[in-house]
Amino acid sequence: MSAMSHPNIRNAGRRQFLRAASGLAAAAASPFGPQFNAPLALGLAGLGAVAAQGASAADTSGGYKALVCLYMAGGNDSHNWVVPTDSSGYADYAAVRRELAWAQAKLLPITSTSQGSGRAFGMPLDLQPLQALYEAGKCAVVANVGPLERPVTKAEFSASNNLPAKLFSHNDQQSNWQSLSPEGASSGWGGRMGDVLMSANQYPVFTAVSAAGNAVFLTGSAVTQYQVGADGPVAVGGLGNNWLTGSSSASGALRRVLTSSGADPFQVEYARVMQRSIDTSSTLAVALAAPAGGAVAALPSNNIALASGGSLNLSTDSLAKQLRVVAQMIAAGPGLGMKRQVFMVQLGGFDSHANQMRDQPLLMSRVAWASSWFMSALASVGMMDSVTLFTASDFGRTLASNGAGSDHGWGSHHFVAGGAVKGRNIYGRFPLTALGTADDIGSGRLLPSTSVTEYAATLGRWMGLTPTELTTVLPNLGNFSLPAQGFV
Amino acid sequence: MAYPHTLIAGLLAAAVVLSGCGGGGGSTPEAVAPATAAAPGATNAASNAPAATAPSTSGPSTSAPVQSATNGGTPDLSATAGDSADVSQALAVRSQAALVTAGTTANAGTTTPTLTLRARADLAGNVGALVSLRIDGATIATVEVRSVTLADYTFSAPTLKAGAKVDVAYTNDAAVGGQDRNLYIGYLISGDTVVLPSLPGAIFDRGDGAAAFDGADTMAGRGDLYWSGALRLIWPGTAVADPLPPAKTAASRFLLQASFGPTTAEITRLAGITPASWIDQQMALPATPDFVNHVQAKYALGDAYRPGGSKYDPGFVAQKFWANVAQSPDQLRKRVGFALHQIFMVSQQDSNLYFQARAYASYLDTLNKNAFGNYRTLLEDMALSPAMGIYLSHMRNRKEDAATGRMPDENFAREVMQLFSIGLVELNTDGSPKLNAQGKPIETYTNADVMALAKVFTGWGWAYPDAQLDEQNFRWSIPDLSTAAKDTGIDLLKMKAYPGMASGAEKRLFTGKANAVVIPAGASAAEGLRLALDALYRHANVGPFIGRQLIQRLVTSNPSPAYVARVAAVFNNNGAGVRGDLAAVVRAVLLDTDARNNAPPVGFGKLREPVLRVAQWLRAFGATSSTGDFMMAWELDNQSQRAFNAPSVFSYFRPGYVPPNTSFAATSATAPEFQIVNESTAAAWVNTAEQMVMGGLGWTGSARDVSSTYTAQAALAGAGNLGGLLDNINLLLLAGRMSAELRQALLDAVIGVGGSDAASQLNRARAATFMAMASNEFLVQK
Repeated sequence: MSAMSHPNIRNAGRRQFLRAASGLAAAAASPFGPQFNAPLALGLAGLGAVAAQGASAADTSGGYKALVCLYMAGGNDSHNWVVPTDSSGYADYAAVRRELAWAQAKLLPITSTSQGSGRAFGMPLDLQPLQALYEAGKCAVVANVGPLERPVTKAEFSASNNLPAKLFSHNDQQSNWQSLSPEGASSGWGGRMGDVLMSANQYPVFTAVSAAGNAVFLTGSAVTQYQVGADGPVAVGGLGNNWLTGSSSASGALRRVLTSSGADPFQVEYARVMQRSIDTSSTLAVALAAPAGGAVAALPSNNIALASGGSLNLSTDSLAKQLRVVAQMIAAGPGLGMKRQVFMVQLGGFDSHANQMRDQPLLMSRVAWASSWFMSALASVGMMDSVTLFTASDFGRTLASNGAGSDHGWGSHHFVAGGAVKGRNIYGRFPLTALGTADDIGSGRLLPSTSVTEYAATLGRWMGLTPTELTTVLPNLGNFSLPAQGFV
Repeated sequence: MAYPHTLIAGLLAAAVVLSGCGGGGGSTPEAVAPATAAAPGATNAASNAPAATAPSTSGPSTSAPVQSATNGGTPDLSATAGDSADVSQALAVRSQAALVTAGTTANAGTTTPTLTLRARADLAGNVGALVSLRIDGATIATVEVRSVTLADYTFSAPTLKAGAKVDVAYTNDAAVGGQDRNLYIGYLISGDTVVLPSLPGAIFDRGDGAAAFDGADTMAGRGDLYWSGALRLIWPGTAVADPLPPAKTAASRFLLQASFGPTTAEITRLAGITPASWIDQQMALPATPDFVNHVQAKYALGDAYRPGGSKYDPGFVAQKFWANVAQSPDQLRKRVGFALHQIFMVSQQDSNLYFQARAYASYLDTLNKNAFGNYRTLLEDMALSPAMGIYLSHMRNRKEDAATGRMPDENFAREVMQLFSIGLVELNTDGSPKLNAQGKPIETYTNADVMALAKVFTGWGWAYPDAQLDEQNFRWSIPDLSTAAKDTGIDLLKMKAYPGMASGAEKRLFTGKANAVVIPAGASAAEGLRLALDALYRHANVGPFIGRQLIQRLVTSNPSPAYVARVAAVFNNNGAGVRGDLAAVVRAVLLDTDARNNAPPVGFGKLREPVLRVAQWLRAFGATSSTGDFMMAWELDNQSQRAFNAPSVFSYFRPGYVPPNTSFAATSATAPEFQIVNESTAAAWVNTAEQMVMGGLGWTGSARDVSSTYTAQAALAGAGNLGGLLDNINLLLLAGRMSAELRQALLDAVIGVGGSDAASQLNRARAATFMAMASNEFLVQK
């Protein structure tokens, strides 16, 4: 039976389709009561049919595209990722960072043509794979990015005017970066892009995919993020076991038990997630096993010797594993009829109040090696030009050292990588790495010179969103004069 | 004998039924009246096969069979498969009639005693299996079983007494045109008793006519009847009049809130006393430092078990946690301690704590010790706990240095306010945010307050002897725990203030606020700490901020403002003028009218987090550890709640989390546990439940460590008392609120287990237990 022929599908409007696809209010809408929830029972085919019903205004021609957010949880100290190397800049840097400063010999030069003559920059040896990607023109730096309501001056900061809420607080600034609102936000800008773009996808359920657990970034008002395990989708083993618990009838009873929900709201919502899990796991597992664009290579299991000592084995690295399942989904995307997807992966441990020079180099290596592998894996399946990876983090950190690390800040340098990225350049304005500047609001916490809104708008434009749609996704976009940064 | 390969054929038949159940099937049996001789006034309780309640993934269920046993021979075609409401109602009616003992319910006067046969058939020549039902030798009904999936055939009959002789005779076995007719019996229900064909002592007496009752050519009782003959059994003893009395279900519900889960013994005990008395008894049990004792016992096994040794494992701590969950008598203290851990989070995810198992154990003991103490003491004990000092990096925190621009580490200063005491915005007593003249929430502190408080938390370090509190030890030394000889137990002591290492600057906190305080320049580190923690402790936010979270951890995800206000009022004053009395707060949380309302409104309760699900299993089924060590430290990693391994100080999930795109979002109702529910973790839980029930959890290195024998449950199955088995599981896992649909699913799973040996009875117990624990009914604590 084709889901298209189901009367409930054929006769309902597009908005209801979207609600059905996301599961929103579906339980309440069923005329048959919760056990006979038709939208839930549609399964994947139904969700696919849903997508075909409506068309977004967004330009989704020209093939598949995906955004991948690499989130660094805890607030990355990016002052040590991109370091001034000209004599004046480095002297400022070393003076303020003290025990947190890289020795000049530990820095690899990077090309920069945008920050004025006389300024030069480098990246630490631990970021070598990322530096190589940068020099190959497939990676760019976007300087001093942070959440802003509108452009603000240091004087406005001092007067607490026009500031984002709850600055310097982890959970709130995580949320602010991902959604433009503090904790409690109901949707993120990745999810809101998904709201616009999901109708272009054969399987809207895979529009916004997190390999990192629950993130507000991928929550939309219609899109519900799909959370895939780092080892791929998890199937309920018992549903395929005709001798479950030694019973010939348990498997069938289990299916009923897992998907019926009664009237209790906790049960209803849990059953919706379970239904999505059951509906998607086998389809996705099949698609990942034989992606249209060719199989994604396994992660290498050799020990990579690291610049700051120690070694890294990508095959057991949590970030690399997340990126691999994302690469697999991207490789399978066109075959599944996907046109636009937004992904998220995450690595924690960046809250470097203490032991920064001991711990941060490994984090750098993990990001750099995993990202570099990801790009090569995409290239090998012909998808590198279709994917843009970008970094995000709670906040930047203080330039000033606390003796062993740094504390919560605001603006922070970020990276974008991919075949479509106009790399080998630093975008935005890179502030002086010193205290007391017009960008320093205290202890070297930087007033952002590029807003998350502008950063996101640039990515959204690349994904094909119209100016109107961008304003929906980024409601404060009109407060900024440079809605596209040009890095992709 | 109409079927040559009985065993294999039976398996195939079962598989056919399963696929029919899953997808609605392709068969379309008509609802046909049985060739009936039912007694006048027979009940018309029709029911549907399971397919009718299973959401179809392949289209509408237009073909689900519906069977009726009617008294006038009139086909009952009203309940078609598409008319789900009627089907559900019919199921509910049947369940009530069949599963509730007549005479014990309010509507007993309208309930006709019934006998239900659940069966299906292979048709031959479009004729089903003719079944004749005899009680004590007298035929009370005959019926044609035509349903190809299991369906209920319900007859009016007196509730069967223990010792009644029941015969179910299949009289028309045949093969017609290559079609083999067979009968498959699921079970019989009378009153509260559910009897399987495999009931001990039951026989299948093969033969036609009188030969079915001649006692010759018999085999053990079975449900798959490939030949004419009679299943003959003696009705077993009936269950107690009311297996789920309100006192017991209320006790079970209370124990879900106040402990790591009910046991049969504790339910029985609590049913005889009040919850308040139970709390008094629990609070009278002394706190014991059992986490430290356990780690110490490991260290005592030899230096290899100490940090750096080959047998050292930071999971020692989680092992003791699971052992406590399963066995510790002071359940209330341990449950509240776990709740406090989720608020005052220190996570072993931090690699800096890897070799600090004993300091971590000490932190947990401190939580347990203070669970019924005063919040002010808890706050200070936490602030000076080495584990906290390492986790939020205020241990070794250096004072500011104007010459170099160095600032104190702000980590703990920020989180002690945001997470451990007052939160981000000013609150009313009921937990709602206070609003300023512009209608905006009022922030409780500024970044300047964070920076000032950071100075208070400078100069604290490992508690070396007073004569050794020098800069070298402050900045660099770590207690050597690697051998018993070197270990002086410094990791068990609160951090000490190092002379000259703390900031002597004036610290102005909360300027302009009610709790403003100035710590004068030159004040000692201890004095600064006292003044700063007093300022937090006195803040009006603490009662609603901490109180609401304790309610969420123990009772309900989205408490009413009035509930929060009542608890906060007790925090503010325990009735004897004491602020911060956590024993009084715990009493207030658990004895509140909202908590003790055993018919709570829709939306009350919480999703049970993974740790509590496993905890409940451990207790309900008396699971034991083969090693005695409960080697379960890695369990639940794939469900985002490996014990003591939260991803950050923001815990496993956030108290303010509202799941987006849900009914909760529509009313901004918090449901924290949903933050870790997703397509992966939901499936992983079912797999864990299966593993748990079929094999066990934990790993010894070569085998599962922790498992249950389900002795009580297998015994109930073995006695043929399926009703009792389901009641037992209902009481232990669901506090008596198992729905008729879930009960049916458990039965349907159980009857797919063949055989009557001990292994089969164990599998019946397991099938029912697993099915219950996989259900979303179990996952919700009401």
